[in-house]
Amino acid sequence: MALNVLVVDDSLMMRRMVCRALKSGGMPIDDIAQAANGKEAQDSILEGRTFDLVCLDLNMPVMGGLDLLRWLRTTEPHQTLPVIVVSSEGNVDRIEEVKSLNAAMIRKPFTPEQLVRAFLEAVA
Amino acid sequence: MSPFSSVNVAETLERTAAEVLELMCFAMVDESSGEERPALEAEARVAFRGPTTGELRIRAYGDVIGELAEGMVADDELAQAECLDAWGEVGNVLCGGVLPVLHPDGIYDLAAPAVATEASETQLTAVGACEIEVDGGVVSVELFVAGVEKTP
Repeated sequence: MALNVLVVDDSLMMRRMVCRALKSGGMPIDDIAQAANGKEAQDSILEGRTFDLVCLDLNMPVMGGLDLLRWLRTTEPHQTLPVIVVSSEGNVDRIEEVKSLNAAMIRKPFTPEQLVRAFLEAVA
Repeated sequence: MSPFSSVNVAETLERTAAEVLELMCFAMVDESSGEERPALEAEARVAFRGPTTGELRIRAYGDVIGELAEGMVADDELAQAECLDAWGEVGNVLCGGVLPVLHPDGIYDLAAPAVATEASETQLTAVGACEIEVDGGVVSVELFVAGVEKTP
């Protein structure tokens, strides 16, 4: 089954890097949508677009990734939507919160192999 | 006294910068030869707030940011704006990688990278710097903090 993925990052180049890593890794992807912050991602979801996986940066303007993740986990029917946080965040407390919200996390800089592994585990 | 004085700041900057450039941009990095730098191409500044306020600044000298951006996305027809965006993200990732090493218990908020093609001035105090060579030129990394008296 081909999957719809949403990549959320305020850096266009980082979004392209994530997309490239997923495509070159041979992931079963139908479509990759992009959003530049949590609000754009939230709007896209509220408009009815459905995603099978979200790759999410944390530190973004307008609405950060942690706020979007908290919203997803308290909003039907997104509580179980697989999320991979892709961030340079190094603070232990924030990383723990990400994990407590049932999201995977990989640190930037990441290798394509790390992202592909996280993808496969998230959608398994 | 620097709040990061318990660790070797310059060594941490150099190690982390090499890792970020290699992993993110597939760059070949080398120790600085100490030769005169080419002209400044771009700088990125990432301000941070937390137990300590400061800024990490990376500068590219020569013809660097296009090569690094190309390495990130495997595209050799990038616009200048895309190269500058990539440079800012390198600074962001580098700052996010350095602070937990220098201050493992600190909670820091990072501002969005400020990218420019001209050198900026800062009133903050430098607490560490390094320089490394990459394809096309040189990358310098400097860490500044506020409220630290300069040692004579």
